Order: sequence, then C-alpha cells, then structure tokens
Amino acid sequence: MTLEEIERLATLCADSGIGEIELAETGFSLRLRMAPAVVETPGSPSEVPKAEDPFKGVRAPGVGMFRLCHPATGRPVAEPGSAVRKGETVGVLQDGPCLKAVTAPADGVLGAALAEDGAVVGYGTPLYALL
Amino acid sequence: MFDTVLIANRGEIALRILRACRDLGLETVAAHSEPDVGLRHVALADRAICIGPAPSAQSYLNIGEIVAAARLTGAGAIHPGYGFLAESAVFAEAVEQAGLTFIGPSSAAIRLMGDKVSAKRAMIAAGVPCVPGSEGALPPDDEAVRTMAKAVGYPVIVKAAGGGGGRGMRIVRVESGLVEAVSLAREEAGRAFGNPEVYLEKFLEHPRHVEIQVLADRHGNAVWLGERDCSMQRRHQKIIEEAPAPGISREAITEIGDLCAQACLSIGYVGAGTFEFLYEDGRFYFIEMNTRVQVEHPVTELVTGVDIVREQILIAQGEKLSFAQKDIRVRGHAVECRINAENPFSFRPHPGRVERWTPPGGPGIRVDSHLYSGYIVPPHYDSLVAKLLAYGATREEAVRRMSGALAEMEVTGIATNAPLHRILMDEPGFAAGGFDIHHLERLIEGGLLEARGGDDA
Repeated sequence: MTLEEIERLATLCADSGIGEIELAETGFSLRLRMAPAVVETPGSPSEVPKAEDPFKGVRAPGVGMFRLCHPATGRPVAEPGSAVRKGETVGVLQDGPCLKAVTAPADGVLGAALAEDGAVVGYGTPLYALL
Repeated sequence: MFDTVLIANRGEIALRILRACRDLGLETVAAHSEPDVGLRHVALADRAICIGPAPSAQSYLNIGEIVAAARLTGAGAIHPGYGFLAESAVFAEAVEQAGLTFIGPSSAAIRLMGDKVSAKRAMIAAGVPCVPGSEGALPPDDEAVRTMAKAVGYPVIVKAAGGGGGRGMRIVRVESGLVEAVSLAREEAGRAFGNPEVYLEKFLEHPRHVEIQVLADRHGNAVWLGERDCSMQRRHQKIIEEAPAPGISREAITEIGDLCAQACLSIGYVGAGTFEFLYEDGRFYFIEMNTRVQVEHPVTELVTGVDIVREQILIAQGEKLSFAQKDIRVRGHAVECRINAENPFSFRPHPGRVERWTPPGGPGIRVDSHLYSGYIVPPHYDSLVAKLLAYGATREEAVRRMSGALAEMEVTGIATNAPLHRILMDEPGFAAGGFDIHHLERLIEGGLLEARGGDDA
C-alpha cells in the first residue's frame, strides 16, 4: 500500500465513522485506529441521549404575548391546580388582534404560571409546570 | 426612525449585522431557531427570541413568526441577511405592511429583479449588457432561427424554456448543426418538461464571474464600489472571492460600474445590491442581480473602506449616502476563503462540536465567524462557519497572508475545507489569477484531490 492509499483509507474511515480497521495482504498488514473526530457519548448509537430539555410542562407554541386571562372575556384561561387533559387550551398568546391557543402536551395538574401576564415569549418558552 | 433591529438570520452574518448595529448605537433582537440558542449573536444581542424549531421552514423562513417577533419586541426594522428570506418579495411586503422597515430594497424591486425574464428586460432597457439571445421561444421557421443564431454569434446554446438541469440543452458551434440541434432539443424538452419550446443564447466557453457592488439611497444617489471576481466555484458555489478582478482594466470596470449605478436609479433600487456578470473576451454579460448583502461583501469593504452593512442600515433609516462616486477608491487587494464545515476532499458536511477554535490574526487578516470553542455546528443549515479574509497592497501579498492565515487557523472537532484552500493558494492557475468558473472543477477532474479522499460526485 502506498502512503496515499493509506491516507485515502483514513479519510474514508473518518467520513464513515469507522473507528478501527485492519487489513492484511501478503507480507503486509495494517491497523488503523482513528481518533474520534467528534467526541461521542460512550455507549451504542441507539443509547446516545438527545440534548433534550427536561422540562415536561406547557410550552409556548410560538411567538406572542402571554395572557393569563383571555383578552375577550377577561377571565383566567386556566386555574393553577386544576386538572387538564392533553390538548386542552390552558393559555393564550396574543399578537395584536391575533390569538394563539396554548395547549397542554399531556394530561396532568396545572402548576403555577412560569411567565408573567403580558410577557413576550418565544417558541418553546416554558409557561406552566404540569404535575 | 427605528432604534431596534431584529436580525432574522443566523451564523456569521447575524453576528456581522449585530456588530454594525452596535456601531450605530442601535439595539438588537436576535430571532433564532431552537438549536441556535447557543449562537454568538444570540448571546450578544440586547434581546433574543426563539421563532421556531430547527427546520428553516418553521423558523428562519417563517414570515408570520418573524414579523410578530419584531412587533412584540419593539423592533422597528428587520435585517434579513443573505439566504433564507433575504430575497423574498413576499417577506419584504409583509414587513412593509406591518409598518416596519425592511433593511433592503422595496418588495417591488425584489420582485422585478427576482424574475429572470423581467430582470433581463429591465437591464436591457437600462443599457446593461446581457447574454445575447432570442427573446422568448424560437420560431418554427428554420431560416429565422438561422438568422437569429448568426446575429448572436456562434457558439450558441439551445435551452428548454420550461426546464433546467441540462436536459433539452444543446451547444452548437457551427451553423450546419443548428437545425438538427434545435429539433433534438425541442423533442427532448417536450418529453422532459411537457413543453417543446426552446430558446437560444450565446454560449460562453470560458467565462469568469465578475460582479459589481452597488449602494443606492432614497434620495436618488447610487454608487458602485468596485468589482469582485468570484470565479473559484464548485457546483455553482463560490468558495474564493477577490477584489479587484485580476487583469481587467479599471476603465472597463468603470464603464460597467457606471451602467449598474444608472440601472439602480432607473429601476428605483434602494439599498445594497450586486449585479452579477459573466465576463469573457473583454465583455460583460449580465446574469442576475442579488438584491441583498452578499457573503463576499467584506472583500469590497477591505479595498474600499466602506462598511456595507452599516450603509445598508443608514440607507434604511432614510439617510443620504455620505460619499459620492468620486470618493470611492479601490486600494490594494483582498481575498476571501469560505471556510465550510465539511470534509475538504469529499465535500461532505461535517457538523459537530468545535473542541477548539483558534482564529488567525495579524496585519491584513479579518475573520468573520460565529465559531467559539465548545460551539456545536448543527446539521440543519448551511455549512459556512467562517470567512477568512486577507488584505495586501498587492495580490501576491494578500495571497501570501492568506496562506499564512490558513496555516495558522486551528479548529478541532469538526472538519473544514481549509486544507483545500491551502492547496488552491499554491495552485499555479490561482496564483496567476484570471481563471474561469470551470477552473476548480477542471482541477478536480484532473486529479487535484486524488489520493486525498476524492470527490464524492
């Protein structure tokens, strides 16, 4: 094997994520052990944990001004401590005349509001704990 | 007038915009996608707001959420950067209708220049040279086609009106092959696109890509800031840009530059823009206009001293340009290498965690990058992670500084195309300058990357 061929093999290994390779020909053997290009979490690929936020409560579905009370009725949309079902509207995001429903991602008991009334929130901002 | 700018982009250009705003005393809002929360400009902005999940369609292309974010955060203007919504007339219109300032041209100008046919018509009307050809579909009469081809000059290319991707395309070098080529192209186009109409254009064998940077204000002033040569390309993607263009006389550049500035006035163009041309045998042929700031704008900044992003914002604030054409001088030479997170020889994207980032420095070196040690390059977006720029009194000095900077730059954890740039800095064709847009692909076909992991084409 020429030096170029070995370099090429190393590149191939790096590209396809091969950690170690052994080759043998007559009068020649080669073992390449690659330094990991990207530091990976130990364990099999299926076990690699996703960088997920542990927050399991109610999140903002988009950009808006968080409203504890419905702008039309003036009454609270949801009361902390009440039981809610998955998909139930528990809050409202306002952008001028447009309203967006905030829904519960699962059944549970609504915790305290995590954002103040009138706060401008973005996609994914935690709004309520869900117990 | 606005005092807060929402940055509707990511990566190095978002940081570039933030810095320009900061220089002007403007507040910034970083509108970012979920995985981009760790971006440098998000940390530096006065305020950040997440506009959606990773996929661009739900974040950086989400017009409703971006406009709502600007309104709710009190941003009076939106800077679109490049890519994403920067050339969307629909977006510019939505921003205008929300009573906000779009930092760029009007939606009408974007629409006019975004359509190839209307853009070419507008440029012909403004006296800007275009690739000569048949205006519209070729007539059925062979003799009329022959007359047209003769007027355009051989070689010509016959293209499908309804298609792309090389199908229904024929290059004709001598008149005797014309009629057959047209009928074959019609047949192929009809089969491939359901539309047998074909048109004809002059075929350029060895064109260079040379573009003119313009700035136009709302008060009827337009200037051009010299040219950029962006001929080092692979699959239509620019990888090295420089200014000025080697071997083209200042008189020729002045002539085309003046035409571009005039064209801005005649189409009512406002803001920064770029007229892209193919250049062959001493002639310019307009191909398209980019109605936004471009990736390679810093090479122009280095040779003219004009901060293009700052000027964009000032123009959007209704200011007059603070300089006239006679004040613009091109001094020295600048080169830009686009550093992409990819395997340098197979060109496969290589996202991942940047273990260590050590940018180069020294006289004449500029680095526009959002990288930092520990940053994770996400797989969802463009692989551009840094723009390395070198300035010198001469082209040789700029190239020498670039070679040094490429060797000095260190990034571990991700692969970048820096090794390819290092090879190209020493390549005789590049060193000579003035190569055409097929130069890099010809080098690759000729074995430039062999034994280095190869081209994955």
